Amino acid sequence: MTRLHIKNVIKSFNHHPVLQGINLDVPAGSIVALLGPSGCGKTTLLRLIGGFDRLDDGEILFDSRPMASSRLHVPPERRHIGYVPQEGTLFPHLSVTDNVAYGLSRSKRQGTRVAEVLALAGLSEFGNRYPHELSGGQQQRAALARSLAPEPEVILLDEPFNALDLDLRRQICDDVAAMLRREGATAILVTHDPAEAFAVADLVAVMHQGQIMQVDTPDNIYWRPANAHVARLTGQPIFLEGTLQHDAVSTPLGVLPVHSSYAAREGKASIMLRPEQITFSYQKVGALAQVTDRSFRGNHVLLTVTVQNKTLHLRGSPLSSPAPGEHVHLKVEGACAVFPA
Amino acid sequence: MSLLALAGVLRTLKTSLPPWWLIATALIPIALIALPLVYVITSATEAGWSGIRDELFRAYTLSLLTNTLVLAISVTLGASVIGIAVAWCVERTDLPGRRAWRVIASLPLAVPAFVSSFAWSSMGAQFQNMAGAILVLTLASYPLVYLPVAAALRGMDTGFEDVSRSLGRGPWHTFFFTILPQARPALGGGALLVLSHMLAEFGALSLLRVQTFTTAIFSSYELRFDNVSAAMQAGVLLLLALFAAYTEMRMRAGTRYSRVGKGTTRHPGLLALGRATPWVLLGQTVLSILALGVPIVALGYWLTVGNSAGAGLDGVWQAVWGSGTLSIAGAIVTTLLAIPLVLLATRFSGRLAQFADRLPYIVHGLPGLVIALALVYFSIHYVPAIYQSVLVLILAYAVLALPMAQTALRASVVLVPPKLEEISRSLGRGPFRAFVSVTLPNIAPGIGAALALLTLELMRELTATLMLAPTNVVTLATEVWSHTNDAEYAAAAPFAALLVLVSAVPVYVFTRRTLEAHSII
Repeated sequence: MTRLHIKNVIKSFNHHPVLQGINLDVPAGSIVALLGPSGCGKTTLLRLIGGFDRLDDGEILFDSRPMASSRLHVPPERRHIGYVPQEGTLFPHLSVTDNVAYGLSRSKRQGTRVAEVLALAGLSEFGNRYPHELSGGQQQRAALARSLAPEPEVILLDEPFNALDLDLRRQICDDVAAMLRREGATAILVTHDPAEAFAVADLVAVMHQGQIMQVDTPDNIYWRPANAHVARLTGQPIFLEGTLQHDAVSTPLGVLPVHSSYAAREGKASIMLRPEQITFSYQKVGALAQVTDRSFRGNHVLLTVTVQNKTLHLRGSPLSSPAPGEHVHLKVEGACAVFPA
Repeated sequence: MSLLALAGVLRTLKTSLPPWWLIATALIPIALIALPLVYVITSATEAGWSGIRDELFRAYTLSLLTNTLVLAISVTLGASVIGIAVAWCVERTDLPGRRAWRVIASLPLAVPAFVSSFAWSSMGAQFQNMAGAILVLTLASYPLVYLPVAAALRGMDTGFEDVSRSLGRGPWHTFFFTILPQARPALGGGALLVLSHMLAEFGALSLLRVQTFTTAIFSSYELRFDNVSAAMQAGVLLLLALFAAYTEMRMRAGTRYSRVGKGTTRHPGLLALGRATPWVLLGQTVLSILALGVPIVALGYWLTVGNSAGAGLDGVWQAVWGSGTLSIAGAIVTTLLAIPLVLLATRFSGRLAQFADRLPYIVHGLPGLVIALALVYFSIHYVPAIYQSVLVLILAYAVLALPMAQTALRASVVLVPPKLEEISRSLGRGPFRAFVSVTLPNIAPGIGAALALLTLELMRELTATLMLAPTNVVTLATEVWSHTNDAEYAAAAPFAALLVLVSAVPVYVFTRRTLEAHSII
């Protein structure tokens, strides 16, 4: 298993800086998600790791072996990587078996490895089919099987679930995570979907404007984002103004605890909560709010409420949520994140 | 668009530099294309300033220049007017039988210009002059304007016309101020292609006895192969032709892929011709008779006369064999030379890649005669062993057919996503093995089609074949030319008829490609 080091990597295209000093360590055998909006540089970083593009400055190492720096460029075929792009991109002129065998040496093709990864991908019976005879999900699993077959040191997945529809996406997402864990591969997954990143990755690296804002576990990224950008990129945030007093903060929703990871300061601050931390209470506990709008969304309802002239968008159960005009009390569970005002 | 979104777009552009083997193989066709320029410059240097002055600054050169320009400009204007008129009638009016006219209007392309010259000159000496040449060549080349303009008219949003009419402008005003400006890139590209063809035309002009630079260069060459006159005249011709080709490139630069409209169902309002219908029909009929009927009837007539004259089939076989072998070999070599250029242009960035993409325009500016002359010069001076061998002719074919090969191959290469090669690289194959194991199998069908198309197209080639073919080798084209030149029209007929048949396929492909997309390299 290989550990991946990325040190201060810089890359520009036509004088537009795309990566502005990226530092990232990927522990051996872990899956790291690069999460960010389109244009944040995440695919560029992936392509630099794969060796498809050259970096301007900085260094990329697999364990202690340098792969790329301003003076060195190991071509992709000598990096022992696996690569799964958005559309899977199976070789159209080869059968599934031949696709999977493509990266293996002549002797290994005769062995059991091809059958092994085909079984891992649940494609044992589809070996003789051609790519156009497979469904989208099967194509994606075959593409992953092909990249895993030569037992690469690092697997690079570039939004591999994007082309699939939502239901299939969740399923394939789980399948892929299971396959990667069974193989114990070090993997990097590029995605713009936080749910996908949280479901698959051990660590999530949030990218914004060519920089990595935070690298942490999914749990920490979601509840303890490093700044407002990370908070927005990882789910829906609710921002409030508050005043810090030691390890608590007073807000329009009452005095709330602050996550211990934030160095508590005195004075004004911006407070972040997730919508699901706020629930409706009929026991006259918590801040009084008025429901101004209720919009049905299937498995939940979207409620607009006003607290002390501040408008909040909350989720509620479609079975038991208050109606527009009703007064409710808002209860807050858990601690909140704090950013400088 | 924010800076970062822009950076996201840039990321998807081609960024990498080409590998050395691709550069090395791409340099071969580029070197071949450079030969004519090097030839003219070398000869000019050898002749010195006084030599150049003696050759060029005399009344003869001026008369050649006048003839060349009068012919090229008249034909270009005539072809443009006819091309636009036909395109508009076929695409935008309720002309009866529009679908049939659409096809008929492009058919004259199947008759090589020197074959229609054979037909017209066989009817008498009254066509063997400048006016006759302008008539024959205009009729032969208007489809080069008609096809792109028709495609542009078809892809055009009719909303503009409706707006113009709603603002009180009549159909003529609307045509000149709304439709024509939008069709200008297509019209300009087509017209300049005609201009390049006319500057390079040799066969038709020599059969119609018109003295221009090409025919003058050919006679000088027949006198002495390393003739300074030929080189200097070739230099002037090259300047004219490269200028036309450069303008064509500028004209098309921004518009090449602008209309690849995907099956949107629009029902453009067709203009009712009303009482003008019979006149328009008459015009179309006369045009078709002149452009298509005359050559075909003349061919038929001379074929029957030829049969009664008992012309043997042995000569035909020999010419078919010559045409077939030469053009197949030429097609293979051209394709091999074009593949690295297409890969460079589609897969990589940088100056060389950009240059490879524009190479077809430069070749449009190289008259076949000048290419042949340059190859003669260099083979005699530097590799006498290959002079008068088939190899030199094949190299000339390769340069001449390179644009067509690039277009045909490009279409199939762009269908193979570069991601496929990247995956192959990630699985341990170097760039060359990635190309052989992934890209090549997927572009194989495209290569096959390109080979077929090039073979048929090269069968029509006359000028370079005439100058470079070994003495015992004859082709369909050279037989038509030499028999017609000797006024043996019946003897020329079977070769000409076969050429027309052979031409039908590339013309069909060209027509479809042009009417579907918009580019006609």
